[in-house]
Amino acid sequence: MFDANLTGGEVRLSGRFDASQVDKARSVFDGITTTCIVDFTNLDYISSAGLSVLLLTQKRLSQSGQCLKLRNLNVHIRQVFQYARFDMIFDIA
Amino acid sequence: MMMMARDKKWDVSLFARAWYGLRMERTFPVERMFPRTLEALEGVFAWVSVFLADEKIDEPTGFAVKFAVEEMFVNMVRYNPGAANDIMIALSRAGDRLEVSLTDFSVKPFDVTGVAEYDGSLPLEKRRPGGLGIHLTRRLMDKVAYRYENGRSTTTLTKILGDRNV
Repeated sequence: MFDANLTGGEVRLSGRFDASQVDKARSVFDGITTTCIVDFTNLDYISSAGLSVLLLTQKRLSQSGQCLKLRNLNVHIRQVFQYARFDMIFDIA
Repeated sequence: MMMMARDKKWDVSLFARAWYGLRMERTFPVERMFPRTLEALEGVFAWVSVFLADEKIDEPTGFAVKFAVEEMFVNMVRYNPGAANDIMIALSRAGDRLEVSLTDFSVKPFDVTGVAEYDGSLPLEKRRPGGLGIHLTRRLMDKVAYRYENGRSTTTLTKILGDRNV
């Protein structure tokens, strides 16, 4: 069960972000227009489909000097981000 | 009928383990067909998770296997949109080798091993999502192989298990 909630300038992700959840995620990320924290505390899993949503959002925001800031990634997801070299293009803590 | 036969093999394996109370090595694959839709992913994850738990596979390895299975399954769904057949996934373990095969039937070849390397050194404005899934699958698994024969397109993923999985 995947969920993405945008409240108070922060997106909270939870569950499993796989390819079947892209439309649901896009409906949230497409609404972000300013710098935003993305909290991964309750996200168990992400695939390349989920990474693509984050990448395309980051590219769009960067055009207006804004960005996503990713927080509280679990060890497995953090490794995936490193292998994708997303640590170069995202603020991750 | 084919589905029933494959499920029966799975049931026989579980029954044998319960009957003998032994830890048998599953050197033959368990197989299952899945519908060619992204909505099938939930069932794919559930089925793979049962296998991983039964084989006492640790969490990092399990994450890598599930990731690789999703990437290859989604590739088959997306790049053969006209195909009608279900996709077969087979799982097996022999000693320290865990193997996953995904087979697509009556399709044109799509050799994932021939896909160009993803360039992670590019700046944000030049990054594209294409190729990312295959790149990460190569990183997370120890071997990715491809075979095409008589319209059957098969991608086989191998993970060498560490001591924690014994």
